[in-house]
Amino acid sequence: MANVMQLMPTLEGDEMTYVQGLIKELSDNQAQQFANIYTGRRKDPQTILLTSLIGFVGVAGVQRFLLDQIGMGLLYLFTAGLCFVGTIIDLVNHKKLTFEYNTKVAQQVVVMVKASN
Amino acid sequence: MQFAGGGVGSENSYDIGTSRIVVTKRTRTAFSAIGFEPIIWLGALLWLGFSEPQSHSDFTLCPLRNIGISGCPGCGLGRSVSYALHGHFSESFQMHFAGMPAVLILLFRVFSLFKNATRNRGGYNHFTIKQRNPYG
Repeated sequence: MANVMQLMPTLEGDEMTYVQGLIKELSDNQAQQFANIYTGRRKDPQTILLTSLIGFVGVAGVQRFLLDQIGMGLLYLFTAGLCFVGTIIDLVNHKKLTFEYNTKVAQQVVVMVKASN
Repeated sequence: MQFAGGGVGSENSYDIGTSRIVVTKRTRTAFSAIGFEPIIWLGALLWLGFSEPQSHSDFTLCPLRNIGISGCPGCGLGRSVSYALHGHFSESFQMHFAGMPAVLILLFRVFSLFKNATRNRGGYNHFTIKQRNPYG
């Protein structure tokens, strides 16, 4: 059984357990391939936190662009992060936002890895 | 380590070296998977939809205006969204050009959050992992 703690030891909390659930059916080779691709494509919650903080001093909404939410990104950009309210929400919610993105990426990568082997 | 375990809230523990790893398993509900974000967007839209845009007084929730800064690029967005939800589109555009797009974008965001939640319906297993020192 593939073990997330050995392949991707930097993952934490919800993300780690979610990935463990996804890769437990994969062979060792597939799991290694998953780890290589996924660690390159996932977003770090800290990146999202820092880009949210930029909303207070400069451009708001960078975090939403990074998470592939172009519409929300444009809305934040033109309204100073919904008058800072949206920026504060994203600061509080940055872990969940990143997790939402990373689960989508993980699902795509699993399908890819299964198809290529 | 293996994530085996029984039903909701079950606990497994493993001894590794001098410390004991306790794995608690519980099943997450769809609600905890979507979080508070859609509640805030929907709440804001409902509030602006049911309040009258003309009746805005000097009282404001805007954090910038309350500390005495004016000229924020988002100023007028609330009134703009409120006008848009009442069907007054030209007034909405005058208040802020992003009011009508904001309604559509926020509704789309709420929709996609709920779509995610129904995809994970039935919840997914959630584990908390704690390290306990048996000598502590």
